[in-house]
This record gives sequence, C-alpha cells and structure tokens, in this order.
Amino acid sequence: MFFVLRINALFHRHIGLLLFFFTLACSDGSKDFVREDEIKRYLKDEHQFEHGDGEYYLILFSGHCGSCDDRSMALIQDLKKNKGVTRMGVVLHKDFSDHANLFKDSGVNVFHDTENRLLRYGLNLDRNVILVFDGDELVYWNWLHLDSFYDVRKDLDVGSES
Amino acid sequence: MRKVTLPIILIGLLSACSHDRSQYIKETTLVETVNVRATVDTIRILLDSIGLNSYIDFSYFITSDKEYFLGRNNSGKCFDLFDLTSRKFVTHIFLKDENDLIADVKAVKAIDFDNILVMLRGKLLTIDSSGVIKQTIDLYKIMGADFERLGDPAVHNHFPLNYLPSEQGGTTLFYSHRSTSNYVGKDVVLEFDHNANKLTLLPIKYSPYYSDKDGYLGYLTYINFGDATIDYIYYNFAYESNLYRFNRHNQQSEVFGGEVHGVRPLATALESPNEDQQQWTTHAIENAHYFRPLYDQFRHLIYRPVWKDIKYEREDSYFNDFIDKNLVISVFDDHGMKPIANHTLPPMRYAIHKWFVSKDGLALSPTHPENKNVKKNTLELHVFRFEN
Repeated sequence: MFFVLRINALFHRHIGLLLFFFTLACSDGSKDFVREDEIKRYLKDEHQFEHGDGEYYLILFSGHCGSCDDRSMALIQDLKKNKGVTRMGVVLHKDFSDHANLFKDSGVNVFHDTENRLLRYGLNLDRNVILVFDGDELVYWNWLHLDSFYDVRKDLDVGSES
Repeated sequence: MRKVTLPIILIGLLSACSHDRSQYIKETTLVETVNVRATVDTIRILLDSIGLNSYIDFSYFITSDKEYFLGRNNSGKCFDLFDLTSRKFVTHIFLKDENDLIADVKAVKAIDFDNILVMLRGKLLTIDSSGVIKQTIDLYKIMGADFERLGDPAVHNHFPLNYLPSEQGGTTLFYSHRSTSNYVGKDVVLEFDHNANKLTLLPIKYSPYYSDKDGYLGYLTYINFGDATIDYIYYNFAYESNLYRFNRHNQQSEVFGGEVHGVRPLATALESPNEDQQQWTTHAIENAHYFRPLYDQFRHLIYRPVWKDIKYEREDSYFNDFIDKNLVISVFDDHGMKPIANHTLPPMRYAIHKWFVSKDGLALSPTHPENKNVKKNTLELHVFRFEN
C-alpha cells in the first residue's frame, strides 16, 4: 500500500521528469518513415509491383495538399531532367485522375489509388511525401510541404525551383 | 534497473490517466427516465446540372414560414438556394460583377433573402438573393492596431458563421485566430457588434486540460462554437466530452458533463511538442472527436455529435481510418444541460460537419465517403426528430 501511495505521490510531484525518462526509455531517437513496410506492401498487394534492385524514387500525392501538388510535379520533372532519374513512380490519391493522364508516356510508373485502399495501409497522409529506395532499403524520405521543398531539392541535388 | 523502472513508470502513467479523467471531466449520468424516440424524415431534392449533393459551407434559414437551405457551390461559382418546405431547388445566386470571389468564401450565413452574410478573409459582406453586394465590412480596418491583441477573426467548420439579431443591430462571433499555435490563457472568441462596428474579445478560454497539457493535443485542439441565444453561447472542445455555456449577462462560463458510455471522454496528450503528422493522425483516430453542440430552439434540446475513438492498427494487419469512426448523437435538455439520450448512427452513412437544426429536427447529410447509395443528382437530407 505504502509502495503504491509513494509511487502516486512521486508521480504527481515529478510527472515531467518521469515522462522524460519514459520517453527516453521508449524512443530510439530516429525519425523513421513509420509506414515503410506498408508502402511496400501496398505496391505489392494492390498493384503487383516491386521496384527491385537499384535506386527507385517514389512520390505519394496524398490528395490533401493542393498547393504542394504543382511543386511536387515540378520536382518530378527536375529529377528526370536535372538528375537523370529514370526509375520513378507516383502514387496518386483516388481523386487525381487528371494527374494520371499527365504521366502518360512519361516512363513514370503510375499507381492510381482508385479504390481508396491507401488508408487501409495507414497511408492516408496529410502531405505529399517523397521516398528514395536503394534496393530494399529506404535511403531517403521527406514530406513535400511548402517549407520543405528547398531542403528536399538540396538533399537530392536537383537544383532550385525555376 | 531499467526492467524495474519501466513498469513503475507505466503504472504511474495509467494512474495519471484516471487522475486526468476525474480532474478534467465533469461527471454526468444519462437521465434514463426520459424516453426519447428518434424518427427520421428523408428530404430529396433533384439537382440541375451544376447543383451539388452536399455542401461544405451552407446556411439554413426561415422566412415567411418557409425553410430554406443555401450552399456555396465552388465549382459552379455560385450559391445554390433550396426550398426545404416545398422540397425543390429555387435558384443559383451569382455574385454581381464579383463572381471570382466565390472561391475565397470562408462561410455563409443567410438571415433572409435580403441579408446573406458572406465571410472572406478579414471581410464580411452582405449580399442579397440577386447577388448584389450591399455592404462590405473590412474587419481588419476596424481592428487597426488592435489586430495583435484581438487576433484574426476566423470561421471554419468547427466555428461556423453566425448572426444573432438584436434590437441594437445584431452580433456575430468569430474564432480569434493567432499566429501562435498555443492558446493557453488567451481569450479565443471575438464578438462583432454590427451596430457599433466594434470587435471585442469575450472572456472565453480553452479549458484547464488544454492549458495543463500546453495545447499538445494534435488535431483535436478546436474550440467548437455551438449556437448563441440572447442569454447564452454554447460551446465545447474537440478533445473533451464537457459542454460549456457562456452567460452573456454575467460573462461567466458554466461547465456540464457530456460523457458517453464507451467513448473516451478525454483525448490523450501528445508526449512532447511535435509536428509529426503521422503521430497526429494516429492520435486523432484513436481518440474521440467531439463536435459542436447544435441548439434546437424549437424543442429546447441540444445535439452534440461525437466521433468515437477507434484503434488505428487492426488485428488483420490493415488500418482503420477516420471514415471508420462511428458517430453518436448525444441529446441534452437545454435547461439543466442533462444528457437524455445517446443515439448511435449507422456506420459509414453520415458526413461530419454537414448538420444543422431545422424546424423538424436535426438534419444530417447521408454523404459519408463510403456510402454507396449517394446519388450525384440529388440533395438528400435525413431529419432526425428526437421527442419524449
């Protein structure tokens, strides 16, 4: 009984400190893209696609960030033009049929989520995201939102926006 | 050492959860003696080629004993007017000379045919049903140097555009949006006096739970404006089950319990200051989301919808999402603010936010994204009448 009371008293007095230790005990300090396995599983199960060996660039259009879509499209163009990326795919939210047409004959793999299955893989994201794989390993990822394009372009060495 | 410490900390955290509940949640008991029946009436109105089957921004109003529904049609660049009493489409209203403004409209509130309030960023227009802009109020100009203190007058789904008539000329309430994301200790509701052309902060703040958690409640940080009467302003917060009633005369808020059996009454706080969208989404799905209380002046009831909490990761290795969250409508009497019924709606049928109180009861739009029975050419509403 005393033990429980003591713990409760300790907790209420030092909640901040305990939470700090709890966070340390549970966190590995990394910023992983937590749905890495799910995006692979989504492509394999829903689109029968595996990117295989070598570098592969994947951009997911979430459907929730209208102002970012044009800049994501420009990034794709510059990845091809300035960096010579040839192995690339786009995952498109179900409402993006216009975008699907834009990629026609571009050499970019288009995975159009017409059946709204992304959310069943935990991939109903608020922002667009770019993922770069080297074989099975995710070597780079970042959100594509208004504040991050500069960093993404710098990280991937694609040049600045025109 | 770590093996021993972790369970102790976990016990502590569990203890904190129950402590939070008793500290922040006003207890309540459903008044089971009141036998509330819900009957449903369906309204179907055939659309023309540009009408929409649901509207994100809309307004309901009564004039000459008839009920009307006005919705903003962004793709059609107009407002669409429906006669709910005769169940027919009336007309499209195009803004005279300013048609492109439609895309900038934040919200609409129809008072009658001659007075339709339209909110733009920092501006409040009054138009009539022929689309003529009769008046433009520049709220930023009125605020002048006081902008920092007052905040940006805003409206959104959780805080829709409103108007309370009075002999002096009426008032409109706004959410005071600030550049900081932390609203601890700040007044968050602005009152605009249409006659005096003046904006005033009302002493309405976030609840103690928000303050104690430093506002780290992810997406669930909304204050929901319910409705205003001559005497009261009804409001609540997305993160907790309590209902609040602000007394306009003594400028004090009262808190009332609104817990629903089987629904989490208090959202967990996020561990630390973070902008991790993936954590925010999981948090918003796994906690209950309380929506704005809707005041039914015809039956003296209050309806408070809540999206139930649901586990994000399922056992079959797939995920739930917002669309899987079930809706419960809690019904309160307006006098004692006692809950008298909780009505669980069928899953995946009704859209959130697209609700309003009509003469016949609570109108809901059956346009949930997964509802396969939605017809593109029909505006459909289900009106729930809750009665003893």
